[in-house]
Amino acid sequence: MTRYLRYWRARAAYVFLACCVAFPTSAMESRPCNDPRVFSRSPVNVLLLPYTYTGTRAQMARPLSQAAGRLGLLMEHDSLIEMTKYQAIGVVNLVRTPGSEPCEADDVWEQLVGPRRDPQAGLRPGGAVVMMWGRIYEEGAALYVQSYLRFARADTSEQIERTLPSAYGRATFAAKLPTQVVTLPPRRITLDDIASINSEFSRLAVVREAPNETAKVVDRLPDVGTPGQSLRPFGYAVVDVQGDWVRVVSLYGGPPGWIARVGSRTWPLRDRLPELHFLDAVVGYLQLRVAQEARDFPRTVAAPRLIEYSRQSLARYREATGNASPAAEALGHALLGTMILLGSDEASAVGNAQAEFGQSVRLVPYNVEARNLANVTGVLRCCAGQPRSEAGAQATMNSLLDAIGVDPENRNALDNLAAFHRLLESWPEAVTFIGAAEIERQRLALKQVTGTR
Amino acid sequence: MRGRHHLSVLFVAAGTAALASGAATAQLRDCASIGRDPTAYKVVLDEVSAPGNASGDSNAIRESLRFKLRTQAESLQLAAERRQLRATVCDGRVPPDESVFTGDTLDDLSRLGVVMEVWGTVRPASGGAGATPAREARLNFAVISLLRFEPGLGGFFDLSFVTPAGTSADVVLKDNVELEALATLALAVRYRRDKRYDAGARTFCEAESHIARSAQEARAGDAARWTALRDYAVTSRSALVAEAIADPSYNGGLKVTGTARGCSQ
Repeated sequence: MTRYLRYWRARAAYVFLACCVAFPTSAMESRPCNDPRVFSRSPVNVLLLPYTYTGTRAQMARPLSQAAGRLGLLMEHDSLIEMTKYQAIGVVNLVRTPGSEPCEADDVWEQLVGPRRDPQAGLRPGGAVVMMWGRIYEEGAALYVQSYLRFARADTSEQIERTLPSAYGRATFAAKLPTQVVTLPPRRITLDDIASINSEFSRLAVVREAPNETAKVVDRLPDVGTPGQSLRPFGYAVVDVQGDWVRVVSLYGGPPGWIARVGSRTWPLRDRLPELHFLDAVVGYLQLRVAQEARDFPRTVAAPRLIEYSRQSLARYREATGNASPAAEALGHALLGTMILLGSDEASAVGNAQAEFGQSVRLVPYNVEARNLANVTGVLRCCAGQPRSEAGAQATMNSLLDAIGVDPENRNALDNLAAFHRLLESWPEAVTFIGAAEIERQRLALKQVTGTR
Repeated sequence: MRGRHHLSVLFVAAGTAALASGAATAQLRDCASIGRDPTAYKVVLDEVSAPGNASGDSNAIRESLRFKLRTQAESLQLAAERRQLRATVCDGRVPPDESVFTGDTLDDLSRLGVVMEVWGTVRPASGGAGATPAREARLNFAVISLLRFEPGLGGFFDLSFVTPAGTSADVVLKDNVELEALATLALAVRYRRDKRYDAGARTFCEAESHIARSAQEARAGDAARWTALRDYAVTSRSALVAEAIADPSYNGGLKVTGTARGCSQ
């Protein structure tokens, strides 16, 4: 009972801050894994699950070493500090309580985001969740970390559509992201790394009375160097940002104050776990989509700045990982291209988006949605304005057929070709690169696939 | 060359001598989850054994290989919905050798939807005597679909890491491309066999890409085998599309394209 009273008091404090404070709020909280909840007012919530050992439930339930146990909290604090730039973000660190079952990513996802999600968990329609979890292997003086990342918006598909007028009805071209779940490359962290990270953390994880290094310390964030401290309930809302400092208000009754905001280039954890850069890029993407498509969430950062945040984060991720994970890198290009396209319909933006989508196809040529994304921009470039390019249209037709060749069942790929037929038919000038008979053959075949054309 | 340790991919043909050996009578430990939902296609990920060697060094490498297998299982499972391929973990199951994948065992696994089985072994590396004896950690792949339906190709593959005792970085940090390549190829072969043309075309295409990357990462001596495997995937995909177009009961998207296309960049 006390726990729930405390919880609702914390929620009330957050809602008050979100509604009544001019600066949109960011917040973080540690919660038990068997009761996952997010900040319903936040357009995007980052959910960090405890990293565990691999194996059976019993093997996963083994208590982590001190160093491994610190990792989740380090990531939480790092995420909150880094992501205050989005102005409205929730960061939730799920903690396994003593005696409870290990934290299973699938179970948490189902409770929060799945079609039968728990309405009490706080995710509202259109709101977004990014979940990161992982496995740890310890050997000697090293930790090996394998991270996974998954994201979604509640009741919303990651689809983009562009519609062109045609004489035979609207021609709509659609595509989705190539994937919404990725395995990130495994990383090695030495215990010396952990020690230096903790040292830096201890210096920074204090709440000061004023935004400067010499101001009086009024509170401390949970000391991740002390085993058991991570289970203490705590949470903060960010209510202001001044330069390198963020002003926080405790959700659990502690004194307000300022904590230092550290640039990602100097925060050592990100050097060791560049997947946090990838996480940051995904958050930027989701912030943009929620801002454009969902109501009732606080408006935060303008699109061009969000695009720049994600671009920088992806560049840092690539710099650290090279080509270790083509699927993740391809997703990164697709995210950025989509953001560029959502940010502007100008020809130069469409060209830049197409370049990103082209990189994505190069990395995962087997992924039909990567090809669909490239095709949406291909159609816009060849055939949306005047003069029309017959060579461009021919190349686009080939790409549309290639997408169906890659995945003959994909609805977007099939619908995009049908839309392109409508577009070509409405051209006043004759099309020479393909005969009427071939178009008719394709059209009949499409009709047989779906029964609707 | 990857890191400072020796890393090689070895291919082992399914030699008739091995199949005929007495080891064929060895038993595979049952794994209940394999039989669950026989209509689902599966990759089975088994245990890691360190036969005849219980030293601490071997155990450490064994644990690292075990970590690798389990995280690979999780990665495969994350893509399960897209590929319609499930990862099934069988703790405690270790095939004694390749000869068990014959006869009724092979038929049973195939009937239950298993397209590939993977297990690990850790042994002292040959020539590894000295102050820091080397160990060989090996991931073994039995590609059930190839063994069952394309026996001429040889269905056994392995990925070996020779590493000084006590150092597992190469094992843990290695990417999963070979597993992805063989799992998607195994699945595609099965789709073709089951006349699931659309899924087969999609999966052969994915296999081609992973196999090409495996060939790029392979040592010179192994690249040719990967290239041959890719040629097989390309040829099989073309054949599958031709079969689909010739099949009067098929009315899918391959009849729109008319040919096998789209898989290259």
